[in-house]
Amino acid sequence: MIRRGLIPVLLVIVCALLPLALTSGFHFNLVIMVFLAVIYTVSLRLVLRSGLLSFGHSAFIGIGAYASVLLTMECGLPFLVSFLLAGVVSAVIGGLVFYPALKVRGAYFVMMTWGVCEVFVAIYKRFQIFGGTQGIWGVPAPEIFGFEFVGKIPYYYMAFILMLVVILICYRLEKSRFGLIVRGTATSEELSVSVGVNIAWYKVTNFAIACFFAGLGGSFLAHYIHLVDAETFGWFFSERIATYMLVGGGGSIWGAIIGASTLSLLHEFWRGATEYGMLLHGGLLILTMLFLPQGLVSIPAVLKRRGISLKIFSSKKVAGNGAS
Amino acid sequence: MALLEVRGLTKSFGGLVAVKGVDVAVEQGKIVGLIGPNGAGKTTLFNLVSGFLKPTSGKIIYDNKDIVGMKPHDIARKGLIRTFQLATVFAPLTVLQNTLIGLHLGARVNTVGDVFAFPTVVRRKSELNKRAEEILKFLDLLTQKDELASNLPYGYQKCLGLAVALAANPRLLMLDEPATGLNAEECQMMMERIRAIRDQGITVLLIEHSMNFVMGLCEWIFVLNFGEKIAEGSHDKVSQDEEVIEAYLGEGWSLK
Amino acid sequence: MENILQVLLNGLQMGLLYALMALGFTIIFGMMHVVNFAHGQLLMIGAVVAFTLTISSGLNYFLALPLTILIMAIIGFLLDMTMFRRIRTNIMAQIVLSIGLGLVLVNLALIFYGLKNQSIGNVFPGTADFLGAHLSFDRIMAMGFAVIFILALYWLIKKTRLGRAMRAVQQNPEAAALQGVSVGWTYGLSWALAAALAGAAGALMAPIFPVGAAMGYRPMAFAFVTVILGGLGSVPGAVVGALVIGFAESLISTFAGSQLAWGAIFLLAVIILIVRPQGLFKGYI
Repeated sequence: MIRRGLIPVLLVIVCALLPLALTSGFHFNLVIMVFLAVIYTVSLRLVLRSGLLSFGHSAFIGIGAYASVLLTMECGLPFLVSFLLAGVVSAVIGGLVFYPALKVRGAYFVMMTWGVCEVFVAIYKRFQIFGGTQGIWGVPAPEIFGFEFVGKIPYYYMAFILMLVVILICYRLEKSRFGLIVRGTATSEELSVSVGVNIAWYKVTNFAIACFFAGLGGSFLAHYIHLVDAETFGWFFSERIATYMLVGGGGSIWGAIIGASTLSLLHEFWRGATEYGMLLHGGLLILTMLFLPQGLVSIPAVLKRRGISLKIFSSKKVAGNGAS
Repeated sequence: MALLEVRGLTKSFGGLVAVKGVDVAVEQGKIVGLIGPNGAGKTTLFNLVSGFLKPTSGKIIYDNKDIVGMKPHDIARKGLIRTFQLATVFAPLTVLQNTLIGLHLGARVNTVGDVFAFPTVVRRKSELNKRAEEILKFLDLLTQKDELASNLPYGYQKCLGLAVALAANPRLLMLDEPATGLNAEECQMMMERIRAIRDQGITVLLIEHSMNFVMGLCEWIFVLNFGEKIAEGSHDKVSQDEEVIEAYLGEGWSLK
Repeated sequence: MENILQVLLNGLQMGLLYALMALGFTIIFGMMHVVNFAHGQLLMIGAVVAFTLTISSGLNYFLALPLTILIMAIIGFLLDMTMFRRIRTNIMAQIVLSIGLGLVLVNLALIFYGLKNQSIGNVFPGTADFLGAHLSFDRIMAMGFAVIFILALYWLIKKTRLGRAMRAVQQNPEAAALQGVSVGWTYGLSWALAAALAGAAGALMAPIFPVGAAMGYRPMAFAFVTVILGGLGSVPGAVVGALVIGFAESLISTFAGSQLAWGAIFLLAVIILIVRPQGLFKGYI
């Protein structure tokens, strides 16, 4: 029986060594996109932990992208500075947008975030500083301390490291006192307030942190594909990330990771045979929700309940879909 | 010295006046009872004092400061902690986690240090764990510390609610029906515990229906009926007050 | 300088169609508290079915219309029976499942209906002109039917047993069940009704607008915003909301471009959700 703790280490080693085995640019791109998907999904999950399903995450990825592009191209700031500032800008705007909406819950929150998403897209399209409907092309490659990103490998490792950092911080945040209280506020606001928890502060900060990571991801994306296009940051993108998270299983960070990696890979494969691919994708969403409402990550637990134990994993209590 | 003083407190919901011109004073270090038939406005009074509801008029003076209009979490920060009539817990979390959230106020844990596992923070967290376990031990919940709160029977959940409240380091602890749902033996234990809490210097204001409980425990009692205060005093005085007896006639005391 | 009457008439006409869309959504989401992100695709399927019946099968439009509505009602009922019944209480699951459903519907349409993007063509050729504005007879017909369906729905909800059952389940499913209301049937029939309304809107749009697999997205967006504006669960609210949006879209598009119209409408929805989530009209209608 493989010890559960060994699996992440093995995965990290495999991913670190993967570039030796990959040959085509297509494959590199695939894996980089998976890393990005994991970053988006894991950061979205932070918001889910506070009891809210957000369909506006792409807005904050977009803010990061546009901010980084404008800071490098218009203000001439070095990449690393723009990259980090992009995260900060996204976090600040995220907090500002979220704060007045604290009282909005459930499906209304979903709709609201979706609206916010589309408002930002409309703004990008309308104003020339964001490139209008054409977007901004020719975004420069990152340059860190004189080292310019050429070929796929630098992007690969940056995405990989960024993903690891995001996963680690989100994981530790979850286990921290801060994370526990956020979970508490999602569960019972009354009780939290009665022991002095300032719910607004915790929820807004939590949301801002999620937006920070989204912004970093957006910045990387922009400098990787060398363009920003308003339409990409619309509702569809948010919806994809949300489905990655919920299909994988919102109850644990592994759910987000598994959902993001498997579904984004599937998505890339479908690109060719679009209709049939998307048909299957849709079918997958439907079937998962009907038969595995806790997500893919609950497969071992479900199988165990039905008497089949997968000997390689030890089962773990999956406590709900993360937001009750 | 009155730790809590309520003057002329009134709360109306549209046409319905739930609390009408109530004056209450809770002396520091005492166990004070708030009784009255169902619908008398007791929980509403709790909600008003703890900031969960805004009064229509009147003053609430806690520790010599008027706290009307303060946010409930700020009021809790000042040491005014209330429990809920219906057992309220963080259901998907363990008993220990529930208590740890209660310790939020005194935690002094830096989140960045928490995330990056600084040794000072790790030490502090283990101190908090110990404190949480002390509280659970006091309430006989220690053996269940890793059990999910939702799996506990109702009575234990109410106990857990009390644990969470105690963890928040109260100066004034407001208990809403702490004995409801407990059998005679458990009631006795609860009375002991509340006395022990009082002996640690915590002032207790409690709502209860069980007359034995209130009479056996409370050093001063306020009686509400239809939102108004109809009597106050020691248990001898109150149990012989005519208006009080009349208010309860037909309602039925719960004699245990 | 655009003819203001034309702009208003366009707004009215679109508003009525949006109202039909929104009503289906109001019933399912506002009243029955079921989230269905695929509602716009039901409109699209309705249009595609109508197209197939009239163009490919040569059926008379006035036979195709009721047939389409019937087919859509059955589809709606089946969707509830097979899928949504199992996740009545789980909103997250409904969200994801309906997104999946939307994908399935759109891509089924792409596969079987293809990339066509054309309207059925005129049922009543010609236009009515007055005061410099013109409205094609098809649009007038669409508006007429929309009004009829809206009134019929209002009657159904207020006066019939099903309507009462729906309102009862909306307020308290358990109490309704105890009163003898068959909750399962109520959901099933509500779904049938909602799908029928969406399909009707699609079929009515078929003579006027191009019928393509992608035609369901915008109506979905408008349905959401309408329902938010008008207040969830309120039929008159949804109608008024839809008209307001129809007018607003027409006006803003004409004078400031459709990009801004979109953005402005979404912004309005966001603000309403924050400030007055019960909708603008609740309490007044």
